[in-house]
Amino acid sequence: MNLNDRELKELFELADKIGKKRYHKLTEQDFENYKKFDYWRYINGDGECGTTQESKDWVEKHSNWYCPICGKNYSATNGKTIDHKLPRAQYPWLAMNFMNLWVICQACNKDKGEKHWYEYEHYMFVHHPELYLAVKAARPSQLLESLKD
Amino acid sequence: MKRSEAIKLLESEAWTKADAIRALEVIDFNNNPDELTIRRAISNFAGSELSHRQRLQAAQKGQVTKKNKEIEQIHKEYDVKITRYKQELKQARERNETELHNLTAVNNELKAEVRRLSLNNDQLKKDNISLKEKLQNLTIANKDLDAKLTNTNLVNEQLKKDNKDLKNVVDAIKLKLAIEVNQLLKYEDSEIRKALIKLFNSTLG
Repeated sequence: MNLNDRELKELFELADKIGKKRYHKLTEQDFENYKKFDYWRYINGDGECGTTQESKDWVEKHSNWYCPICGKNYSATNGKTIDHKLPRAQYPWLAMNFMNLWVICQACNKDKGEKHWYEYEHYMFVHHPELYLAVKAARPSQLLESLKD
Repeated sequence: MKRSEAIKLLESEAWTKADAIRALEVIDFNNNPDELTIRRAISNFAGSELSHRQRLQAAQKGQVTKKNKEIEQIHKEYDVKITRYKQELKQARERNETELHNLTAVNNELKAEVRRLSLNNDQLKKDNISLKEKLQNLTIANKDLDAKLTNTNLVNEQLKKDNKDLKNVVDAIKLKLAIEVNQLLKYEDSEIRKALIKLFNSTLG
């Protein structure tokens, strides 16, 4: 791989491409870990069957009326969603780690997509600087640190 | 004539001694009877005794005839039974012979089967020993592979984390650059140059 004569943008894109491998599709164990969340969140692991009482209780306990990112009332933004701070397709071994879960509104969840954490912070810093500090405050430092173990 | 002489006389004429004694009972030998007296007395006895004995003989003959007929009937029944038994025996023998023949054939087949199974069994024993050896080898190989797999899994876990860690490091650098540049843009034009040099110094170590 010749890295000379490449623009900085290209180099960053290259790092993204390698860093964004979807681990839940690589091994059986990764896929199993990835699916664990579905079984906890949805009846029979199927989103169309509704949500389990256990996960509803968890949402109730870990959220109030307002989205921690945009600060809007959930009723105004299509309601609550459970988001993986570090996306489960990228970090399947953290799919059922409760430190990795938080409740945010549907709009913010869609905006966040499958971004890695600092990528998301960067995106918010550039596009929604007024919300950046809220996002920074939610940084999963402990989990990011655990990658170095 | 004395009693003993008279008895002897009659015995000499083929009388039995018992008959002679019974025939002479009616005679008083104290009167010394002559032969004529004796002959008259015994002819009376002989007549009645003879008819009495003929009656007895006739009765006995009748019984003999009856018994003979019974015996003959029994013989006939036994003959029928014996004939039937012989027939049954013959049939039983024939059946037994057939059965024996069949059993002999079955026995031969079974013996052949036993021989065949014996050979099979020997082959299976050999195969079993060979399979045991293979199994042992495979078990050893399997343990080896398990150890390798465990090791590979550990390495894989580590590499997954490292990959994501690096990705986050790159993203953190981009974020930091964005924040720094954002700060730079707040400076006056004359200060930007100094700040830029400072930034590059910190970036390149």
